[in-house]
Amino acid sequence: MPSIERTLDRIDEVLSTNRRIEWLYIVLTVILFLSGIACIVMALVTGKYLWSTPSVITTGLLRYPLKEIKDIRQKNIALATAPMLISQLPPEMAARQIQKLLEQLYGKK
Amino acid sequence: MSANDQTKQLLEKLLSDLYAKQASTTAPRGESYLLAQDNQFLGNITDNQYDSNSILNVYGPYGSPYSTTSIFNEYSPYGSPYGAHSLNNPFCTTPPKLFLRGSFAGFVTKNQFVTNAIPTEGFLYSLKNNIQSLLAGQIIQSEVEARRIAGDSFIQAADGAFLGSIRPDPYNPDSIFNQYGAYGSQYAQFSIFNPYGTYGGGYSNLSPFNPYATQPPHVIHKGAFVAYLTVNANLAPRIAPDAIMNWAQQNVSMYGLQ
Repeated sequence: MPSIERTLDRIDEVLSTNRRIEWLYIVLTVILFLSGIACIVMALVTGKYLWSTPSVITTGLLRYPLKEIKDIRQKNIALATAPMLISQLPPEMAARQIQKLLEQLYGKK
Repeated sequence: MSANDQTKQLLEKLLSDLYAKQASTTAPRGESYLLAQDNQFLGNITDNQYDSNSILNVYGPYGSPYSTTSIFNEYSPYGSPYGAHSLNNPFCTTPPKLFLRGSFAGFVTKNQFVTNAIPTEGFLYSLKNNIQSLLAGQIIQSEVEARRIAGDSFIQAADGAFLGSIRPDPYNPDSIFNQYGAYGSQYAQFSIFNPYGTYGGGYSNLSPFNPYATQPPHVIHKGAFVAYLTVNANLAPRIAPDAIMNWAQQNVSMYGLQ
């Protein structure tokens, strides 16, 4: 099987791996968010406002998984677009567009 | 984003395969072009950057940094510092051939011992900045001249020889601080650290280690003379050889032409 077709086949594998990682990040994000909410509720119920401190930390920590989720989604879009570009465009145009995708995701080489 | 993630590897592989497929079809050669010694065509030298066969088309098989047939791909056999047919390999004996207006102009290489050599820096500088002169056959011949014009920081011998970059990077093959490189090793011909060499010996007039030398090497920073590199206290301005590392760390970027 020519190399390009073999690479296109691998795209599905990478897409599913990316989806698994994306789910993992979503679950972690939800856990962090719920922990923060629980702490705030605890602070309100007990009247000990020191309990609201952890929620500030968890909210700060949310930034990282949210950024990762955004990055993974961008990568998935690029991966899903590549086979379409190859099938719809002449090779030189497809190569140009894929290189632009790469530059957008990872910066210029 | 991680530099080594699967998505990146996959897209790069796909792109490299697409470019290889394009390069495998017979490209129409212009009058001026670069040809590897394994007969791989490496692109036309043309001022039309949109020509898909141009060496300057960053989205073409001969100009893209992702293409295996590009001299700008630092991992390709034609662009890598270790490539068998690479213009960036200082030890390559089979560098690419440059043809201008249909006739052979020379070998583009960093290997100073190849006859008919055109220094890589000079060629690349002319290619990117003055292609009309290049097409007319006027190529910057000396590495030092090209580096000066490009604003590089390096050591230049009084006889004009390039004695290495002063980029404070011990892994850079051109750096005098790479003790295994062509300019930092104590056994290399063009190293100031070779105690038996013309440019490093204690008795040579061109050496920074001769306290009586009247023609020691020059330290060039951003393309301009800054000081003599010498232990001779009678010359000014001067930087002592054992202080050059500190000086370079304070003044020269590790990563680029600064």
